[in-house]
Amino acid sequence: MFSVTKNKVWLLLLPIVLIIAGIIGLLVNGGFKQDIDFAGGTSMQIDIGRTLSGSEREELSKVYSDAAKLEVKPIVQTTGQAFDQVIVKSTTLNEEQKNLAFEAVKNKFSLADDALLSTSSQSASYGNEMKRNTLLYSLIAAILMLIYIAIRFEWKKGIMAVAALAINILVMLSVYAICKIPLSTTFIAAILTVLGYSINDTIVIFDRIRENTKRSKKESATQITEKSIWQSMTRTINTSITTLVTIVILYFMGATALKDFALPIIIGVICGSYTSIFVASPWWAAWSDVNYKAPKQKKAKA
Amino acid sequence: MKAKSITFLVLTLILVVAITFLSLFGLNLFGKQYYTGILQEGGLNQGIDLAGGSTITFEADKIDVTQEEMDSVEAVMRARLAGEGYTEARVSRNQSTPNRIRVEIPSVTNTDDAIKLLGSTAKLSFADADGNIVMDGADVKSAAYKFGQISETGGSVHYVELNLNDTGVEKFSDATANAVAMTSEGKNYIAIMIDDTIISAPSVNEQITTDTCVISGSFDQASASMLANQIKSGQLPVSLTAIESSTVGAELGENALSTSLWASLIGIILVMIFMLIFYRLPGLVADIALLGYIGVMCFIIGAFKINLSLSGIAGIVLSIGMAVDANVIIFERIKEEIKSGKTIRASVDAGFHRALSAIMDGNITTLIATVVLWLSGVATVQGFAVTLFIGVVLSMLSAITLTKFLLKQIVGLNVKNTKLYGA
Repeated sequence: MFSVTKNKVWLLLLPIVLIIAGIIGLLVNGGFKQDIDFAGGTSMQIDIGRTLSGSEREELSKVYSDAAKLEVKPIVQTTGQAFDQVIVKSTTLNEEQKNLAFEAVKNKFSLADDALLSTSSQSASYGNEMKRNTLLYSLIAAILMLIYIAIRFEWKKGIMAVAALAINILVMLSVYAICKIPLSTTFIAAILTVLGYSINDTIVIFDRIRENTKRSKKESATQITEKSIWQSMTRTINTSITTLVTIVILYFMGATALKDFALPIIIGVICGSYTSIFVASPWWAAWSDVNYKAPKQKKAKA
Repeated sequence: MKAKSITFLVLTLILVVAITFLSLFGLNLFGKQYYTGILQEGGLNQGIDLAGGSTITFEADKIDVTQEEMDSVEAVMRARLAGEGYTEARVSRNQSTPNRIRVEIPSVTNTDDAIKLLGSTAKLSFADADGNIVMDGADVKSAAYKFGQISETGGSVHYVELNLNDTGVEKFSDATANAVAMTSEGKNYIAIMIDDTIISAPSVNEQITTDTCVISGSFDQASASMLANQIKSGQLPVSLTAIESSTVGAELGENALSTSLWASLIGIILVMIFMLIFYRLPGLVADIALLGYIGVMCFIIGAFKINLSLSGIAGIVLSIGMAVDANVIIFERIKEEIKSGKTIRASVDAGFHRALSAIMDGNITTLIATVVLWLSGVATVQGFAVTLFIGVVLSMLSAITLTKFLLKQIVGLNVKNTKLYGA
């Protein structure tokens, strides 16, 4: 059978490659894109009734910025179940600018008044605070989990579990950087959810290791871990599948706002299972075995 | 033994179906509504993103704002909202950000008007020609919007009529007397100011001793009635800035609710099928437990009037996925025990016993994350945290009580075929 503990370096390569790709993506794209709740600004969701082509979106952006007298052209994204709506994101507009901009778009694409589905504005300082809070609260959550695992298991397991979480979050960020998805508050919620959820997978395996260690004190941590990983493989996969089923359906069927939320969770859940099985456990074993001496078998026979 | 198990199974099933039905469709006996289900009109407390409307977050311009000041800000805002007839509006504050206040107004989509109504200090002051304040908002008993003639020569206009209290009458009488005395210098007027901007400066020809006073200016109906409402509700103790605002059209919200509910339903059905195929009899037990879990969850949301927003729905959907996780962990363990040669009864006992520590540890760490999410103070994130928290606690309880109870009854039926346990 494939040995997880022996191939731990290779298995670690996959997330690392993704993270490196993310860093390259960041350098190429010039940093993360930020949604208006992070960067500050106004967004407007408009029902066009059909899918706009790239050049039409360009025109919409121009009409919009001319009407609202903007210095920077707004970003126009396609959205909606049938891709028949757009979200226009710009610098912060006042009510008058909003009305002018919508009127212009309305006339341009001959829309009705109720085509304006929603608008939202956010100040930039508020966005900065949110970013700081995200970092702060993720850290708090991670530290609390580390303490809990250290108490219930041992501190080395706590550190490995949190390291696996850190890899998950970096991979999630990388996917955002590569796909140029803007960061927003829903992303914070997703990160914290994944923090809370994917640790379950790690705990299932660690729990098994704890149990197997009690039974046989002679085996090395590596041997016990290898056994425990395979014993709990079906559960790790099945628990992830049941969660993924509901989230994937939410992604394909749910409202636009929920899509932004479902995508990072999907990535996080998959990545979480991967790091639990292939990173946290084998590397913990290797760490635990640093001072391990194999029992002298000759003596035992003699 | 067998008969007892069957009775228990049937009773539980009836109970689960009854709770689910009650929480969704309510209880209506002989034409009297005893309980409103969440799928019924008015049974679900919908967030702004589902019901449509505006959300605005205000921040006090003063950094060291006190608790008392914010309490009075909240009271003033509630009064102003009630004055405009927004009875379903919600005002909320968060302990971690004491200088902020969040207002949700269903069905209002013009946020600028709402910001003007709620955010302006509405500091009313009367000054004489030399700029001395002679009277302020504290001297006003009430205010009302009126339409009609205020002078014998002019046409009908929109205006605000103030009703002064006793000290107000006294001050106003003194001030008008002084103004009349200064007629020769051309200073016989009193300026009426809102937030230090002069609204009108009527000239005074005689001392006024009545308890009414009129503010006129370039008002239309809306602005005059808003001002009357603001004066009546009192001035804000601190000035506020709107730092965030958003609007959702009612149609979009309605659409979001129905698509998300459909997504949840399909998700639930798929998870149930998955459990049935993979774990057979225990899978069926898990499905019954899942149904019971959904019923109780919906009941809690309806009975405790939990404000459900889109992110809250996401929390519920995620918790459904996680609810079966505990069952998966237990059933896998039971399968292993069966394969190791134990009897089914012993395997079920051992399975629950051995899986318990993993379930507890896993769920507690998730609960830690949801508590931290709630503390973050971001409203959308909090909605998610609340439903996920309830979901995780409920699912843990349902796995270690309901699933266990049902599975023991199945064992009591003496089903010996291990294939039926997925092994």
